[in-house]
Amino acid sequence: MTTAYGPLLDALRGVRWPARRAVGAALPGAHRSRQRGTSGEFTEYRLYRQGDDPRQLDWKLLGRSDRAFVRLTDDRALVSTWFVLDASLSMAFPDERHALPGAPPSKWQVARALAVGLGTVANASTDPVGALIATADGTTSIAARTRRGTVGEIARALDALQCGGDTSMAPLLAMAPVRARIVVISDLLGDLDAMVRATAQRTAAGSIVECLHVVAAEELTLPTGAYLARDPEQPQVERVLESRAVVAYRERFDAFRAEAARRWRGAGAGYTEVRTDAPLARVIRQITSGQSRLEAQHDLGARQEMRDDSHERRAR
Amino acid sequence: MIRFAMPWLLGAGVLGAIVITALHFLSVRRPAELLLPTARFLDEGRVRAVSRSAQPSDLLLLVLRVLALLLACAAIAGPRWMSRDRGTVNLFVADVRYRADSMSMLQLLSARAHGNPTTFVWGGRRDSATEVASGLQEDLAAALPLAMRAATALVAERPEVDSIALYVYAGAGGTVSLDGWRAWRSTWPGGVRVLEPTQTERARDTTVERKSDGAGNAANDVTAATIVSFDRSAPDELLRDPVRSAFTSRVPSVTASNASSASSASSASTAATAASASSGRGVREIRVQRGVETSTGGAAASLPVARSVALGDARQRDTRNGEVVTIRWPESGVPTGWQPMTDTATGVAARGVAMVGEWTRTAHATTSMMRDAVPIAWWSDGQVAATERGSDSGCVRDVAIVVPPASDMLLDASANGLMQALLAPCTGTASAWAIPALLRNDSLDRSNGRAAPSQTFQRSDLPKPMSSPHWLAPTLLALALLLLILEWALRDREGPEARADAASAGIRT
Repeated sequence: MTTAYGPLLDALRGVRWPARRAVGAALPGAHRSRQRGTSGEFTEYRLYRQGDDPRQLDWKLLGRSDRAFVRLTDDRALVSTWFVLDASLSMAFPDERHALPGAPPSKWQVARALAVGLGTVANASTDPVGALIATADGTTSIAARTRRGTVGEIARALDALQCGGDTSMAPLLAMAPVRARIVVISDLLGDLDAMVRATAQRTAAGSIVECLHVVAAEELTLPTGAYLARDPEQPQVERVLESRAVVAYRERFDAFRAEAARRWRGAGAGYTEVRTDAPLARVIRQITSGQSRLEAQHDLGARQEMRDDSHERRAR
Repeated sequence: MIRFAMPWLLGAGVLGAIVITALHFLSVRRPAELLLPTARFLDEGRVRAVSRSAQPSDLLLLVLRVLALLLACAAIAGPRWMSRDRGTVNLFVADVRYRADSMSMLQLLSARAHGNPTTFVWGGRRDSATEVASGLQEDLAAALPLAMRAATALVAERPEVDSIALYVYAGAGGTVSLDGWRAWRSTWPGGVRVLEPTQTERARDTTVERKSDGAGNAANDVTAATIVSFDRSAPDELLRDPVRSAFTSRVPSVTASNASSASSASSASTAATAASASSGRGVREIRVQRGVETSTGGAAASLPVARSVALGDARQRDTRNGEVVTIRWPESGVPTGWQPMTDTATGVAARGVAMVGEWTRTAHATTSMMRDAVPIAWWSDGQVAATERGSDSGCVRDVAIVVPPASDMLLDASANGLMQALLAPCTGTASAWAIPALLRNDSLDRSNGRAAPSQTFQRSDLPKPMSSPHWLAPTLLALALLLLILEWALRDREGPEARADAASAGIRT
């Protein structure tokens, strides 16, 4: 692993990243499992039903109350974490070669740091960590492993990659195991519809999908002056960027991000918007603690309220 | 130099080029490119913005476009290539009897024609091509219709000719019908310059007039009353001398004298005085000095040097008893004052008659000696072959024509011109032949002597070519097309390059 990630990993010491819902049966791990097992950690009683294992009956309680109860305990299980990264040309914005000192990193740099940071956090909980990277040349796959050098291997693979082309992310979602935590790191400017559909299928199958939407600060604050804006992935898309067009651009981009968040959450996935000028350690802490979801829900509620207010005003 | 049949079309092209250049400064340009992955969220619409620039960009494209436009307009405007010497052409009309003296005509023109090319038109019965307008000798007015025909043919043959300056050589001995002249004069749109004969020619023409007054053979009448004395000591050699034979055949009284004694010539000429009285005026005696010139450009070693005076002074001399014409005709070597040279010529012309043959030329006249002399015979290339200068008693004629010892060319009729020029009276004593003053004044009216414009001679029934030469317009069009293709290729090449630059550099300003 390169030394560039050192400060970030130092800031993430002790951070845990529990699955945001109970995982299925698996090897013993750190995540709450849906499996009611035989561990010593008591959870609750339940009336005995026909077919239950008689060995789980609480005989003392049966003696006191003359009613048969089954003693339930929670199980802990591992969950493999797969990072699905978008290495399309749009992720290489802004160009690292022409970046000024102190300028925000590119979207690809942020995506790499997110993958390494979250992978390190997940691997610290003995979770297997793997990666699927969509590049112009195809898919780069790094199998999920628990051993300590896995994250370093992922970091080296990411550092060696060069963004390019117009990639498709949806097929990569199908490549990850069903009972896994899938972290999609992308700017969502590619095949968004296909990704959302694939995500809905994966979540229905039991996967935990997290979407980290990387947004460049330069995309939110456009440069002043007149430019001919060109989509690097679709050169035929040319638009004039001038001061009068910025307002409409912001409205459309905000609407796109809100719609993306709504659709990802509607598909059962988590959605977190990551700006390139935001401190990455804090962003990762928010992701691992679930705070970003709460903030997102709060933002969503606030937006809904604003929307309702505006509707009421229009109705009046 | 290119001229255009429709110059306004070229002007329109220049105007278009100016507009293109102006629009280049105020043009609709593509702004600087910015690679933005979220460009799809910007408004769709025009991708160009109007901008003003103080300095032109894409200079190569601008130059190619302007050049293509100008070349296309030039091709359509009917380009005509004109040589540098286009402008005015001198049309020299003279009677055919002066044809052999065309070199002297050129000399006559050289002072007036300003270096313009000259086309000769000879009028006379002997010229079948000008049969209709023949008879220039009989009536000088015939020169004008002759000039009209020649000018029309000239303009059809050389469309680059801009104007035609007409010179009519009046010659001598001819007549002019003023009514005919005035009638034809109105048809010529420019000035007409009537050239008078030079002094030498006046003298010659006077001789012609005189001979025509007398009876008998004109060639013999010239020297009928003249005695020719030869400065030669050896009679045997004299008998074989072709020059002597030439004089003998034309002059009845030829004597020999001692070359070393100038007085002997005068004694020999005593008998001639009575004979010359029949002419009443002119030549008292002709002295032919033969021998060998051994010095170059200096004094003659064997021929006595006659003291020369300017021709103007010669006119004032006393010639009441007749002139003495001294002919210095060395058998070999270079006459006094001449520069030696070794050359050949194909003919000698004098008095309108040419002797065609292979001549060895040993000397040529220098500019300094020609100040006091006038030419009386010319080589075929226009060089002076014989000169005349004045002297106290008459004139001295230097002949730089080397005659082979056994040659009989001087006995031929073609030598009559040269012999007449040598036997004629001195120039300074000749009476001038004058053309009528009325004709002279009338020739330059209405146009102040300007040359006639060539457009008046263009035939309207002839198909007008798009360009002259015919390949000029297609060539210009092809060049314009080539430039347009080049411009398209350059413009097309800049597109992918710009996109590649934008992809690699992000914002490009």
